[in-house]
Amino acid sequence: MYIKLLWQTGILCVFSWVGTQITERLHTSIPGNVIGMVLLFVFMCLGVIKLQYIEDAVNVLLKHMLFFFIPIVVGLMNSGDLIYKSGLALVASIVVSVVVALTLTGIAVQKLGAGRKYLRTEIQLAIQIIGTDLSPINILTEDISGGGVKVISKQLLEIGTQLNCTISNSKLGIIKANGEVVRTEKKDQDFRLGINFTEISKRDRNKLIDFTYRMGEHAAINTSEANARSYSIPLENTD
Amino acid sequence: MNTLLIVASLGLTIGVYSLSRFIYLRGNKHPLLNVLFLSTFLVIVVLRVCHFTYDEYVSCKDIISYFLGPATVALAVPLFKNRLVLKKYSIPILVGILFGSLSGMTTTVLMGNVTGLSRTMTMSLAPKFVTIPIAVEIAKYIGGDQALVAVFVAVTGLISSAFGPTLLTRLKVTDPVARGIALGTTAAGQGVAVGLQEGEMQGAMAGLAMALAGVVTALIAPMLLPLMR
Repeated sequence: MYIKLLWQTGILCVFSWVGTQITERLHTSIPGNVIGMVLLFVFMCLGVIKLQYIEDAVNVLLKHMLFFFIPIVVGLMNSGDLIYKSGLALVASIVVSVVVALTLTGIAVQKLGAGRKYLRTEIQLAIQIIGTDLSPINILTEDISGGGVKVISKQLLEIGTQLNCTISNSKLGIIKANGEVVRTEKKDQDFRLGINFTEISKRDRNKLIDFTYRMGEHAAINTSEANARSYSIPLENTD
Repeated sequence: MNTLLIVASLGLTIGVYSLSRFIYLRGNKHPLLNVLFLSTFLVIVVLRVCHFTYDEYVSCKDIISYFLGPATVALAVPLFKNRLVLKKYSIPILVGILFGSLSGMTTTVLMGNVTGLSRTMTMSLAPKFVTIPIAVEIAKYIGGDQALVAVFVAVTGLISSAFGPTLLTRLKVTDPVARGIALGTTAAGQGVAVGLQEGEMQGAMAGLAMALAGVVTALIAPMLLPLMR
């Protein structure tokens, strides 16, 4: 266990060292550890470094990151007066800039339209999914929205898998969409696969939005408070 | 003698950290029981009581601080795990983080000028939104004090994570991606903790924003801040 941690930390140290070397050789103002981080990200995307090579060490380092700052912060015992003298100005500066930055970031991301735009209904519907090299699987949905579905599957499909989805339900009729697996999680014996619709006709999308809106009113919608607040309901689709 | 000092100060730091973490966990992770503040306070108390100077304690600093390098590199992992969301919402996420980092630094410098803070103080405040290892490195270039920066980052994280969620709700920022990005950009590690309490998506986005905001700030701070006086 400890040997593995050491070995994994070693990989991270190599990236950190290379980053520092690049900063020094090129005389840039970008911190070496930031360059190391970007390099590691690139190597992971290329598949050279796999998540399992480093995951344990990463978890330990991120969990105990504060430990590594203690000696630096203890240096304050030599400059305590300074903080004491300008305490009020410091707090004012921090509070004002936090409010400004939080407001601008939050509103910018929301206005530019990230995140889910659709109401999600927790409901079990029969769905058939077909992948390019998979035989058709008949399973159930856990929830559904105009943007995608979450399905309960015995089989784990890899993130990025392209799928053909067919949903049939007496209230909905038949809905066909192309989708992509964007999230996977293990729950009990099964897997939950989050599928985003990449290609769906406008008519089918509206049917789904309509359906979730109707069901959402009296069926169990997503219960977590933070999420329930987050869906904007497209008003033009209400009936 | 020197080796003895190193071993003793290492032991002190590890002991104090374990104790602080224990108190923090016992206190149900209350944000005011900040592990960094508790540990620092305890170390200073021990040093004062035993009549040691900072110079004697600091012998362990190089060894411990060395690990900030790999710890920062480790931030690539949350970035990698969320790469699909990043790809999908790259424009809103990047614009949001850029807005946040730029406005945060500009406001800090303006406030510093208005309230008459010294240049060193202002430059130690400027990188306070990003995670400590990156902020400390940025401070080196722009003329801030490393110990001050680390404290300011921790205080900023504390304030932002305590009031951020309420502020965002008041502003009708309800989108989980937007909330996560805003928290991660302004409160770094503590933003991730608060984000995770709200939901999986908010936590993941905060982790991603923490890494990206670090890169963005590291790129623009050394160019922008010398221009503002």
